[in-house]
Formats: sequence, structure tokens, C-alpha cells
Amino acid sequence: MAALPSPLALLVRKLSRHVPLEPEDRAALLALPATLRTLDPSTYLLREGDPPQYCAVLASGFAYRQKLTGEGARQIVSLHIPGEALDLQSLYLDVADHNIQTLTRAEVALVPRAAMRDLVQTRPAIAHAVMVEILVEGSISREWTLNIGRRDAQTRLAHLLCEVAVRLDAQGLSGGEGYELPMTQEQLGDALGLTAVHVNRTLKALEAQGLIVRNRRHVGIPQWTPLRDVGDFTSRYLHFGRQPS
Amino acid sequence: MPRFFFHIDDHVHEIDEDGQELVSAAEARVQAIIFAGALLRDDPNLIWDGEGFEVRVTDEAGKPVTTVHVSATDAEPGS
Repeated sequence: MAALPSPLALLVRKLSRHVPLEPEDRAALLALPATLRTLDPSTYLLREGDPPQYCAVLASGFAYRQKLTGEGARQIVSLHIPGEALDLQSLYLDVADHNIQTLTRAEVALVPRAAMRDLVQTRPAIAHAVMVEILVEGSISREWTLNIGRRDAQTRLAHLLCEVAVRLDAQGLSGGEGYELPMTQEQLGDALGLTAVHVNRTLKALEAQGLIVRNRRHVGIPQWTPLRDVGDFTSRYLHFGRQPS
Repeated sequence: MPRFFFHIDDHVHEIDEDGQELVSAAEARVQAIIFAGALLRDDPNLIWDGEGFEVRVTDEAGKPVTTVHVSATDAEPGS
């Protein structure tokens, strides 16, 4: 098995896609104190109401943010792929307003929150990139609100499949032609506001139209354009280009 | 957990061959109602004039468990 790139190198790659980083910025990011952990699926990285201690960077595996209603119904509010920092939005908020859990077995680098804050305060380019990253998370969240609130089940699911493909692709993890989506139909339902029964029916409908090919948890995308059209997907809200200062 | 199958009957019939594991028939009933509601939200025209729309739940033996039936009736012209 090939050695995984270090999680901090993945973070450098991600942040430098938003803003150009000088060698000193890159070196400072790579020098962050980090504890590596391997976590089982469904492990909590942060619980609502707790003070965030670490900024976690995913090295491998998927994670998600979720919130619960008073009655315990769960909504998955975002998904995270390797190379993403899970807690930049808690950098300046002292109490977690949501839960973060691993979706799969995952390797994470835990960076003490104070160290990350110090770095952001001393290096303007990193501060800029972190700000862009937080804003992009907000943009994704707005797109999810639109998706769940106003798109039908088929469009909603196709949109999510497109988003994950494009994000994996942008991170240099294969995605465009297909990828392993490690989510149960129930978890997809929790992300899309649909019952598992409805998710199953909708996956089958996408497959029957030749838009996806499923093999267990692998989702193959034979042709990008038809799936993108059905999913009403454009990648504008992901802000992939460099954001000039 | 028992497996329940959620078939759709409107102007076409769609048989669920996969089913879903759920804790009880009562939970299957709840899921059928939510499923029917979501399908109708996506496409209100699923209820055709005079014809109903159904989500029919069966168990592993094919026995009926619950049927959710939704229909709409327009007023007669001039009434």
C-alpha cells in the first residue's frame, strides 16, 4: 500500500488552492503540532455543546457534521473528504453548535486549536486562505439548503453525487469517473431529508436511466454531463479558483 | 429486523424488490406515509383526476401490511 501523504501536506494543498502561499506559509503549516489518530467509523470528533479543543484534519476516510432535533431526528449537514480541516469554523467560536463524526474508519491529525489560531494570527496569507475555506463551507451549506428545500428527490441525490465527485477530483482523489461513497441509504437519507426507502428508489431510478452504475458502495459515472444536468449542478458555489486578494 | 417492501401504484405500478429493514410494521406505516408525502411533494400530478395514488407495504411473505391511499376530488362544474 502506498504511503498516504501527510494530513498537513493535504491541508497545504487545499489552502493553497484558495490563496497563493509562500514557502514560509507552507513550512509553518507543515510544522504545526499534530497528533495522528486512527478512528473507527461513527467516532465523535466534536459534540454539540462542548468547547472545541482541536482542529482536526482528515488524512483518510470521510466525516460529516450532523445536528439532532429535540426528538433525536438526525440531519447530516455536511460531508468531509480527505485533506479537509474539520473545525476551522470553530476556530473563533468557543462552543460547538453541531456534532462531527467519522463516517468511515478515518485517519485524522489533531492540531491544537490554539496553535492553529496563533498561525492564523501571524501569517496573513494563511488567515486569508482559512477565511476563504470557512466561506466556502458556508456556500456549500447554502447550496445544501437549496437542495433539500427546493429540489425533488432525484435532482437532490444527483446533485450530492456530483458534488462529492467534483470535490474528490479537486483534491486529487479520483472522483470524476466514479468513487466509493461510504454511506448507507439511511445516511444518504439523513443528508438529503429523505427516507431510506426513497433513497433506494431514487438510486435505482438514476441507475435505470444510465446516469450512474452502482457496484456495492461504488458509484460509477459513465457520462458527466447527463448526471450534472439531472442534478442541476454547477460547481460555482465550490469556488475552486484562486481568490485574489 | 423484518423487511418491508414499498410498492407504488398510480397510473403505473412500481414493485419494490429490495425492501427495507425496519423495526416493526408500525414503523413501516410511518415510513410509507412520509415516503408518499415526499413523492407527492415532488410531483403533485401523481394523483390523477379520479384516480388515487397508493404506497402499498407488504412483508417478506408478500402479505399486505399497510396501504397509504391519497386521492383528490374536484368539485363538479357549476356546483
